[in-house]
Amino acid sequence: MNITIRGISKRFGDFTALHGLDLDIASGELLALLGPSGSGKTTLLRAIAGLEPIDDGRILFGDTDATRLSVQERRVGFVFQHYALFKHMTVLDNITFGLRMRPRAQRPAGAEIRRRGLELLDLVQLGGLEGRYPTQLSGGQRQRVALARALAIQPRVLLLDEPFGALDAKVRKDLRRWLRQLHRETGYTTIFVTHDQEEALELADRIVVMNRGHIEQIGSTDEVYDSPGTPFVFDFLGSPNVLPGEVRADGIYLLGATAPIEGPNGLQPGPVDVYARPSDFRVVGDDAAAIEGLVLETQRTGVLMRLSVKLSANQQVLEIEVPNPDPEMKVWLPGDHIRLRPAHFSLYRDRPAQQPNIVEDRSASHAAPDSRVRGQ
Amino acid sequence: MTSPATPQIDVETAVADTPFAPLVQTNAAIGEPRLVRWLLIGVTLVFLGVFLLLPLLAVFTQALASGVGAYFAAMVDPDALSSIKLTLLTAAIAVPLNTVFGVAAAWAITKFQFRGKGLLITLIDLPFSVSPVIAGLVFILIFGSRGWLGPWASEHGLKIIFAAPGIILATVFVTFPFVARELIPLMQALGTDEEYAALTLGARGWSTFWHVTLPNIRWGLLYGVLLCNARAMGEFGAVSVVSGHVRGQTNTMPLQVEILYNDYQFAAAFAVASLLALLAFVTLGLKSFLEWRHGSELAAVRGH
Repeated sequence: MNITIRGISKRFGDFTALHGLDLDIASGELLALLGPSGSGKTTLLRAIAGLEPIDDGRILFGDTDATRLSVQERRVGFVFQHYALFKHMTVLDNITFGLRMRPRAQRPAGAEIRRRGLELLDLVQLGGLEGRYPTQLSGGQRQRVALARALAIQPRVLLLDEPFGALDAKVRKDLRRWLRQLHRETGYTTIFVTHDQEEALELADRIVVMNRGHIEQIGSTDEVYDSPGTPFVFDFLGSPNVLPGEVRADGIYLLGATAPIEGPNGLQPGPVDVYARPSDFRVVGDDAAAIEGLVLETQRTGVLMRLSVKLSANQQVLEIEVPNPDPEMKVWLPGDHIRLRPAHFSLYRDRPAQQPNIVEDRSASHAAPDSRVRGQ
Repeated sequence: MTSPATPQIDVETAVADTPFAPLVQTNAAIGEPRLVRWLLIGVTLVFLGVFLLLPLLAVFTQALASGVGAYFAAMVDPDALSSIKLTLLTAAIAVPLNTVFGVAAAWAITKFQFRGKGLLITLIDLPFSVSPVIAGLVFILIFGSRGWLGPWASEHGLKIIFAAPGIILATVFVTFPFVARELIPLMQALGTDEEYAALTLGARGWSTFWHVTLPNIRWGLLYGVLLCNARAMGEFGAVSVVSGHVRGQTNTMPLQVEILYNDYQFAAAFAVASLLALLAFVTLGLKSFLEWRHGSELAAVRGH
């Protein structure tokens, strides 16, 4: 079921949790709401479920206006962060709760309810555990029971609040893969909330990045990662280095460089911030466009070597990653001089982030939100 | 769960590996010295003996001091029977009333946000902080012959003060906080997620309460009800003020005990007192029995 959200707002006293958000969710989509705590992502999820009354705006399920529908009438499958399983019921009773709560006229017969429950239990790969109580299950198993319970009512949309937050790293990885597969098999429109960018990138089709009750960017995982729309998005999806630069008539000059790096044409002259991830830098030889620095520290992290580099021009310390071993078998040691050039970067003006972020050439030579530039 | 690196004592595996290993292992690193342990146990036992066991023993020996015949004669005395009836009637009305009120109050306080919540919590505690005698006097001020509602009540032929209704009102007031006080912290700890989950699954308010909330709070509720019941049967001060001490009519068991004692009828006084103590035992026994019967469910709910 596709979901349309128009201008929804939510205030808690003086605090505004959602500032008039618009969002379209396609049927069968797997969407992530990504943001730091306090960004309003969970409030948005609960508003869709009807658990949080909204002050303004409309929510449509398909063509039906769901804004005024009660939680029960919305028929959403909600998986709570801590699962909220009914502790005094067996796993099977938990899963069949939604079916058993239906009005008598719509309620399947007892045997049918049991059959459906066991079927769902198999779907979440917990066959044989129907008689257990939730406390007798591991975290990952509880999570799957909660999912089966939500699926039992054949929800219009499946909503998951921090679905992997309470699990350890290994279980989390397995469950992610499994959930992706389950989504492919069942095809439910699914929205999940997470503060973990890796989780959002790995699991979702599309990501909504939220900050302070606003949507910063909506896009596919590639769009959001490769072309972050705002410094906030860039910042949240990886720990960027921010270099001071200047747009001149013939290109973008990094601080201290005597030649420009290639960038989009038609930018307004003036100072800009150049955002680049640690892995975006390339070590170069004699290059007038490069920035120069001193290696402070080195740290091996398997296939990469992490370097702290202090720039000669402004004493700023960059964190960069270079292949390990280096293609030319160069071993970096503290005290070495190094010349760097960002291979990929984004340009933003006026840090800290203002709405909207400014890279003027958006329409000029690049497709819509693409402010991310490939150099070299 | 146990990794070889952690010096943790796993009784289960220890027992499995060596058949003669002690069932309870103590960890010297976190245990107390033997002397301290025995001292703690000793203090507890002495305290229990002096303040609990000895008085109980005294009640029963005094009750049976004049022989079993006198004991049962004291029980079937019309005044004593009347006091037993009145006590049971009072509890039978006060306890259900306060159970319903307690659940409603705890529900309102823990599941909703509203203005004046702090005030409501304070008000619920009021009967605990006010002396029972004052609680009794309050009802005399309201329903007494010169009270606010007294004239109105007598016009309509209602006798409240110095009659069973007054006793019941005073008891309801005094036992008012027990259930709510027991449930509020429990329900706060439980949170609202399970109820919300039930709502998303299509359950209506009443079904949610019946199938989700009540099973989660039933042991706390039972405990609150038992405490409430014990107090309802045993309340002396407030009831004493409003009862008027009409023998055979407005005396509850605690009042009857006092009257008999003041009349130097010690055996009879202690006989009624022993019955009161027995009622307490029955409630405690009932609680233990229920816990024993539903032990596994209880563990499942509490183990979380």
